[in-house]
Amino acid sequence: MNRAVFIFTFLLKLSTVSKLDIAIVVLTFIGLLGAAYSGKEPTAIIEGFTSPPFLLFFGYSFSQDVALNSNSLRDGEYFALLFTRPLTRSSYVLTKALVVTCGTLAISSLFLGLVGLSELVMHAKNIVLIDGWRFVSLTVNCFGFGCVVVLLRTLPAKIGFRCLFIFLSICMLNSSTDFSVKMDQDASIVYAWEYFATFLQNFLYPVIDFDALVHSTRFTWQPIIDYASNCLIYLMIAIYILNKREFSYAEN
Amino acid sequence: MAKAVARAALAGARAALIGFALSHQVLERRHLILKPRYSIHSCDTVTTIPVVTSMIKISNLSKFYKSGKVKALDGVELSINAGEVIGLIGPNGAGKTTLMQCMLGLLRPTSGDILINGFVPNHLAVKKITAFLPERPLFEGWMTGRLFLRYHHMLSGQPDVNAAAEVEKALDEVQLQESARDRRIKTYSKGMLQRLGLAQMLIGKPSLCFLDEPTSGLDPISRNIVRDTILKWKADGATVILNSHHLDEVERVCDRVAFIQKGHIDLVQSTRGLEGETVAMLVKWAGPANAHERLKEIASHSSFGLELLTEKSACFKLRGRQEMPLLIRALIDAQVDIEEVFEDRAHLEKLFTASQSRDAG
Repeated sequence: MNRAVFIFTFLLKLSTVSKLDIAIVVLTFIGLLGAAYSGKEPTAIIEGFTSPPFLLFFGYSFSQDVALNSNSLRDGEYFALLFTRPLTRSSYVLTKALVVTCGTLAISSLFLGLVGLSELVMHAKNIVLIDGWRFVSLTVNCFGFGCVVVLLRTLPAKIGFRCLFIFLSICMLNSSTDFSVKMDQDASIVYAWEYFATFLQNFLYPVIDFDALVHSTRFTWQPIIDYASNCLIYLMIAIYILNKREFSYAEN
Repeated sequence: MAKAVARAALAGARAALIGFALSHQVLERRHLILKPRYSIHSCDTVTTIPVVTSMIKISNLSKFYKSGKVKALDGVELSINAGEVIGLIGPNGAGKTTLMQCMLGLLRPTSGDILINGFVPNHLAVKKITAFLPERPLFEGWMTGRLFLRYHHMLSGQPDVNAAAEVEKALDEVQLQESARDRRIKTYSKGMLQRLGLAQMLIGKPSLCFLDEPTSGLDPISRNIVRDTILKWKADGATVILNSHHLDEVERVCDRVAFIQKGHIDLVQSTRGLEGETVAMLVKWAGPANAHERLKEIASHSSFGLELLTEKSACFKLRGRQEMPLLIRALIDAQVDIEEVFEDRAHLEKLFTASQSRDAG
């Protein structure tokens, strides 16, 4: 990990916090206050804030860079200045993934804190906070989505946005499997759809649920292996792409 | 059954992807670490690089773009000595920038080798002594000038203790005005950006400096700063590779120049050799009326050849720069009211033109 890249990526995000970012936080808090007032169960809200689409969204907003995921390489040489310093591409990608992890975790924690605060303000009887294993899962999943985001950001702008769209669509499809079970006109389609969604989820999601894993009757290594291999693949492809598009003069 | 099939397919696809990614990583690392001729234990343990006569050795270097359709470099051979300032000159598209980027490890050669003190260019031991100013650097616009240099100070792996002092020293050396140092880079002018780029090169006291068109679009003061910085590096014993279209600038600071044409190095010429060659001096005068006779007399009584004589100007050919003061003294002694005496600095240009004509022929 490179200390300079880590610190300055954080500084970049802090220096670009906009009024819109603050407005989003305030509006979310108002919404949470409303939910707490109407007595809605906060567990669902907590699950929402720790779900893949949210982590992807938070991570994507935290990973901006001057050159990553942009066409600005055509306008000047960014990586040429960076990689003539004692810095390897793999170190750069890994550092970016860690920055996104920390950033995503910070934003998720902020929103989870708002959930607790809204309950406190509305004098809820039992203040529900995220439990230990869920928080461990959240931390690990933030890293997983950090790897996805770094890969998406390493791609050229257009391809990056398309891939993000596809990834978000898959997130949505997976979350709609329960709904699709309701259409029991043709059970085979429902089963096929479920298998397809599970396949995509297992194949693409760098996600692990420690809560389910710990509380399950039979421990299995498979989710951990799936998670680790997915993260590894995303990071390696990101390094490979960065190697290929490091210098605009020779993008062949 | 269906679950088992799906799981098997998943495992197969994942294994294929990991295999694909790993194979490329292995290739990258092979390029990165298998070529060094010196045995080293760890990058961190190498603090100094053994100095050899030829600091950079380029052998049979080729770089093709678009699957071999465009030959940017074709069989380049070049040796650059430690402490030498070498200029790369050639027409647009000759391959100068590609050669420089290959030396920096930013481009992978199609074939051939580049060794810098025995290491491949991408080796961290090489990067620790390298500084580079690209032709069109893309800066972090949100940073201030000071912050940008702190960033590069941290990237260069220098101890933090002296960071502030080193940053200030670099900014002072490139004469970036105090009021601009804490301004965001996106508000900088072209000249200020180039000065900042030069300042980032000074961070970490590099001994191998690469400059790609460092003076393009700069005012004369900024050009002087670039030239003085190169001369300072030269005095400190650093090796400098300069890519420039300003032939006079190359002639002033470089020990040797390499003429690149269509991916080949046509000629490597010492600028000291150029100094020893004949020098053309142009003289302009205001009077007296019989100046022509006096100039002819100077030419007949000395080794200066009178090449050209017009109404108010003349061109003398000298055997070297050392004869310049003698000519001026002779003109003063002959009571010629000199308005201007200057050197016709077109030698490198002539060589450059001749090189192009040869190629065209």
